[in-house]
Amino acid sequence: MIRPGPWVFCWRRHRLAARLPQNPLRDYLRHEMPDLNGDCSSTPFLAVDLETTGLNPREDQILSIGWVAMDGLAVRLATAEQRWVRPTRDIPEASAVVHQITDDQAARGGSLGEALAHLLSALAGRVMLAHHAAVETGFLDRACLAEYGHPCMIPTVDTLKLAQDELARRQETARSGGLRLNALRQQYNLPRYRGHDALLDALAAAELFAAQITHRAEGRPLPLHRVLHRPGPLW
Amino acid sequence: MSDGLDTTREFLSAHAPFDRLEADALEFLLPRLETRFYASGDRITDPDHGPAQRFHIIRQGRIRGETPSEDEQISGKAWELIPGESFPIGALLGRRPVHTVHRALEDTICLELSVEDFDRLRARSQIFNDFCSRRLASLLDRVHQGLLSQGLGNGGAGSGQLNTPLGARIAREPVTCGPDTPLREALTAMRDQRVGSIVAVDGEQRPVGIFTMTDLLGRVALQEVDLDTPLQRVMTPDPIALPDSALGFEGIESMAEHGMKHLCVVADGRLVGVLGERDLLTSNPLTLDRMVRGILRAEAVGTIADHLREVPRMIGAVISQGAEADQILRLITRINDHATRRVLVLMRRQHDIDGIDFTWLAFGSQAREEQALRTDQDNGILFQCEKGQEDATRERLLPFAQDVNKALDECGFDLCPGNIMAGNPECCLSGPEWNRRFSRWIDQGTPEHLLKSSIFFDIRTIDGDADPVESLRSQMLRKTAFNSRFRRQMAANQMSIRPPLGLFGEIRSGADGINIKLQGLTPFVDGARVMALAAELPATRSHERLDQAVASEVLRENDARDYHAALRYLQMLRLRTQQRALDAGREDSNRIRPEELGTLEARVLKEAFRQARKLQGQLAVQYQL
Repeated sequence: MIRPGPWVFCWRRHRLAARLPQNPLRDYLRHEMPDLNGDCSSTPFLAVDLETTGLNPREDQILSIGWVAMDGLAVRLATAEQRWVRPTRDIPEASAVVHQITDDQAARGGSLGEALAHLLSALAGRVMLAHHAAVETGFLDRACLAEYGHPCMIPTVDTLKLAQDELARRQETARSGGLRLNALRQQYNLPRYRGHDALLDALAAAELFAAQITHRAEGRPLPLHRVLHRPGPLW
Repeated sequence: MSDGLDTTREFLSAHAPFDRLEADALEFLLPRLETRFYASGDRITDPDHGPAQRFHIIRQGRIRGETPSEDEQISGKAWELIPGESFPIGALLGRRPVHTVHRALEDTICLELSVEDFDRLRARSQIFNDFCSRRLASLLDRVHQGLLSQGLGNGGAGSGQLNTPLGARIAREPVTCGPDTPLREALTAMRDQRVGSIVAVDGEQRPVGIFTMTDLLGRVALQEVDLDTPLQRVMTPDPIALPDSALGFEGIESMAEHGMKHLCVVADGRLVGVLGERDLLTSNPLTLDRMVRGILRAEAVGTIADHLREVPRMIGAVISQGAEADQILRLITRINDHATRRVLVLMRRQHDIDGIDFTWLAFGSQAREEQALRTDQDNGILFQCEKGQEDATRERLLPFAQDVNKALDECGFDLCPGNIMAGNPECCLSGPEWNRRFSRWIDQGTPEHLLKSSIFFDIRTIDGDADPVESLRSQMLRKTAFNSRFRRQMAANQMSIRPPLGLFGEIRSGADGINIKLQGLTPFVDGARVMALAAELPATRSHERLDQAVASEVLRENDARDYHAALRYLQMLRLRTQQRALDAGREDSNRIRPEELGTLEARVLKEAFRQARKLQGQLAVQYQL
């Protein structure tokens, strides 16, 4: 089957890299993307989770970014990292309750640009992995647009979408709350973590992804492009 | 680095040995871990994949270790690992491929370390290294420490006192004098120095006698002895003397053996200190010496029984002071030996058996010096007589023996359900008759026969001449060592009781728990006996048999170390269980419920059962069963 999306995506990354001035986004884009036909179990991933003040990238702000690398489906705790971002506006009380990041804590964070530069260098040559990746891609695109004048083009897999695909394959519908990170983890006998800490959620998503891939592959190679969320088949 | 690793840190801090890891070792370990997911049914290690490369700690899920061949699986070598447990330590230490496939039984997540980091962690952490090199033993230490801190039993004070050398317990210089010193002078020295005993020493400071306050009362004051009498005339000659390197427990044991209250501690034969029973058993109001003396002086069976009822309380105190299980069992046996001998003395008075030379024998646990708090009596008589006089001699001995059996029953040693008692004509035999009986078992015994008679092969003299028993033993061992059919059958019998592990190595416990004696101890006791009979080892204690098996190279030292540790643990568990049952007035004193043990102990129990299975497996291979 011809899947134009991924190839168009690659070509546009190249073109963008050539156009950009020297900045972290350009450095990121100049690293080759992992092979789209390569086996998932040997692809380098970076699990990423953002804590934000809300869900709308246009209005809300990033408070914290956590990430951890995964090679050959093994989560490497040595690479675990978390950055706090100093917000430009006060944190709404409602969101502070959820992720328990207070103004004081946030005030000790760095600028969004610093955090973004670190994340992009960690992402170089890797596929981003997130649960409900639309939030991560939305906020990161927005942030890159603000910092570098262009949205970033990060190849991404989404554990939520993989879970939906799996349900569709089995012609089942999700129970209410059944697609939450912890609920999905329980299906694979993964330990329960406290939610709403960027790094912990990134770790949780990485372990979930390893479980999903292991089950779906059933010992056979599973090409990366089959599980990609972005770029999709048509991008 | 962030606190996002807290969950992993929390997990590790809940599982041995990581909970005790040095802070810097933990900081070294944490970032080097990798988490990895295995779907149900995945192979995690494989013997065909070359030397083991990764150290796995199970974070969640269950893993089964299985040998590649189905046969061995049926022989029960598979086992199950649960969160907090780690593998494959042996293969990583030995730089070799694993022997077993580790397979995920359900979706499992592991924390993993490369072999290089595993080595670095061992170099960095004493605790981790200790855990790897002596896994069972190090877990057992922890259980033991836990018991001590709980203050099990009624003593509760101190810890490990009984396992410290006597030399470390000496508080002051001994008060000594020459054996010719007049009493008056010796007593003055005792008063001035405020001590309860004085030791007479020779010119080289070697103890030759001891004189105590109790002696003053009985031998001097009431006898109205003149105070100018030399000490020599009233002291107790040849006091117990132990080297300063001997353990506190050995001191207790010799005091029990001799019914003495004091012992001399010597270094190279020279007196360095005197210890009283109270110095060793600090928290114990009811002293061993009082009990042993009471038994030795008893004029009625009822009095002996009264004294023996105090044993469980006293043992509680000894446990709480850190004695090892095998030492405690030996101590109990010593006390029971005294009781048996006293019963024999009392019963002799009521029966006309003068002129008959006989030896009172113990079989089974009393012979092995492994008696626990509740025990049956297994005994017999070996008598000497002219040829042809066997039946007549037996006729005279039997009423006496039956009365002894009844008296022992009164003392709390239940009558043997298998009727292995001296009062049974079958167990009251002359030397040649015993010899014929053993020959019959060894040469022609059916497996069922041997199963019933196996306890006869643990035999020890309690009272009377030991020589005929030793010659019986050496004849018996010579026969067993050369009769392969017999040894094979004994080995087959010891397989008949399997440790309570499921096919996947989980502890299998019935509705009413596990019989710790039958399912836990028996495999070790029987296994050690098979080795002893096969290699002509004269020992009767199971631990000693294992040691001798190592010395005569029928058992590897590493294996023996694990068996010792497992057996000791099971013995201690049984003692504790019995004590609790006695306290609660329950009868089922050998039943344990694994679910009532903590997680750490359940792990140790499982490991102990696995060692039992390993021992059985080794014998099975050796005898090609």
